[in-house]
Amino acid sequence: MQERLSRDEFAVVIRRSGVALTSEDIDELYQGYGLFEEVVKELQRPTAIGTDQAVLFAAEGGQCR
Amino acid sequence: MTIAEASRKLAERKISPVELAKAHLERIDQLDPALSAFVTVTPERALADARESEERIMRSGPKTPLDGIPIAHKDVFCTAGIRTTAHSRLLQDNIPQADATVVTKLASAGTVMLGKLATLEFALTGPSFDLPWPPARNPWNLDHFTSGSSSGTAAAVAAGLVLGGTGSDTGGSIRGPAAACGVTGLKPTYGRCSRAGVIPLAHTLDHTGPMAWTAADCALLLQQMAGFDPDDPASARESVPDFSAELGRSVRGLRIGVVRHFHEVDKPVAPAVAKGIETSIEILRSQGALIRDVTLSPLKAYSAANRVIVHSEALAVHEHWMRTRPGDYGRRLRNRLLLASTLTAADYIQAQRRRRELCREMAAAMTDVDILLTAAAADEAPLMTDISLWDGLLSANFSSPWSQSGYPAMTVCSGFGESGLPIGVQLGGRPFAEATLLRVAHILESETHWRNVRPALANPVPAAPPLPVAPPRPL
Repeated sequence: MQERLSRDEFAVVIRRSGVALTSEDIDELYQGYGLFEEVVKELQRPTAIGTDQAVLFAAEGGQCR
Repeated sequence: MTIAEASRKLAERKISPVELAKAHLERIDQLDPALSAFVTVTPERALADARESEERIMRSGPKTPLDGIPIAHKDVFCTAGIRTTAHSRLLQDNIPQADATVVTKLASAGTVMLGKLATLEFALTGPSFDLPWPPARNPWNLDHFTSGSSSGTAAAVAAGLVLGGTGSDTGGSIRGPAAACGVTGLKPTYGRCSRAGVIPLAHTLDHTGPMAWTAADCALLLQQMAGFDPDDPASARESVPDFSAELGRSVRGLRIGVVRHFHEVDKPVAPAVAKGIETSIEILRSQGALIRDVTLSPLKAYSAANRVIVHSEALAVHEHWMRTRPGDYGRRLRNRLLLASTLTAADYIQAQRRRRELCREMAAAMTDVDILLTAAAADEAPLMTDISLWDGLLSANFSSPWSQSGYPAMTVCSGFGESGLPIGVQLGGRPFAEATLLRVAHILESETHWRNVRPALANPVPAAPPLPVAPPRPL
């Protein structure tokens, strides 16, 4: 999968945290980012339109009912 | 000794709460330097609790079956006047002013608190060696991981340092360590037990629950932990049944679904784990349960939604400290939270939408069965040194369907693997049907001999070091 952020873009985003990071740190994190992207890919949808309502919590309430 | 056995002896005044507490404190002194199950031991508090219990029992008998029972709490449960660290440098001097609701309930039941137990830092990622306390080690083999994050509770129960304890479970943090350490762990229904006063990991997924040696002991602990709590906005206004009521009842006619594709296709398991599943199925079938296969979405669908939600919500909890004190986190958690900052709001929304779909799927599946049975983990606990920096992101997790849905689930020991470490099966139930889960778990424990096998470490306490670290010997 094409990651949404290139290594350089990733470095910019990660450095926004304010955490002091070396180039090696960024390399290490970018490996983990690839795994995160695989997870996110599982959840992406081809379209936002259709019968799939954007329901976060059903009317009956709670996850368990 | 189990909680149920100790409870009987305490009620009959055959053992003393003070002597029981002293024996466990001595055991902690001798074994915990190698196990690192405890972050904080509280001998003064334990002996004070035990003396109160003893006076009460002598005066009028035990007030509950847990009166005089030595337990400890995962160190994310706040304890008034006692350090609560979440196993992190960020909270190493944190002394809460109030108990978590569950801590109060268990104290009111007469339990004796021995201390606070190790976790993964803020209950996320893997074993870290750059924190103020080392990670807990697996009592079956000290070179192996306990799984997490209720690591200390699982290790302490297995090693006989406590008779039971508390855990929290967001993505399998009770069930995973229970399986890895060969104990019994129950994640109750979302909302069954309060999270008030428990340091959060992910608000929409966090659960609290009991861990002990047997299902019967978990029932006794859950009895005191459960109930509505106005201080937890997710707490359920459900009546609390007698969780021990179904123990010993037959499973004849109970419908048990086996999610075979989870362990055969989605995440293939070790031969011993597969054998444990088949043995469990045969035990239940031979007792009259009706067994059928059930198909759900692939395990990775549940795990993906869980991971995005956990990391997004965890970052919301930690964002301030990540900006102000990033150097106080261990490398594992800091890295994970940094990665979480690349998740977008859309990612989180998509994960929650997927979660709703998966919850509907689970609800539909549970109209035809009473229990779902799966593996608890793919294999025995790995070596500490084999846990990658990105552990937990790499493969699907058997716990996720029940973390996502909030339905109750528990793990029970189903034997031992090639390296002599425990393996387990997971049982999932209908909302608020913990008693039925406990009934099935009790049958599995009663019909096998795994509850008679303790880690060699936990056999009669050695008089002097070095501690024996022999491999376990299943009967």
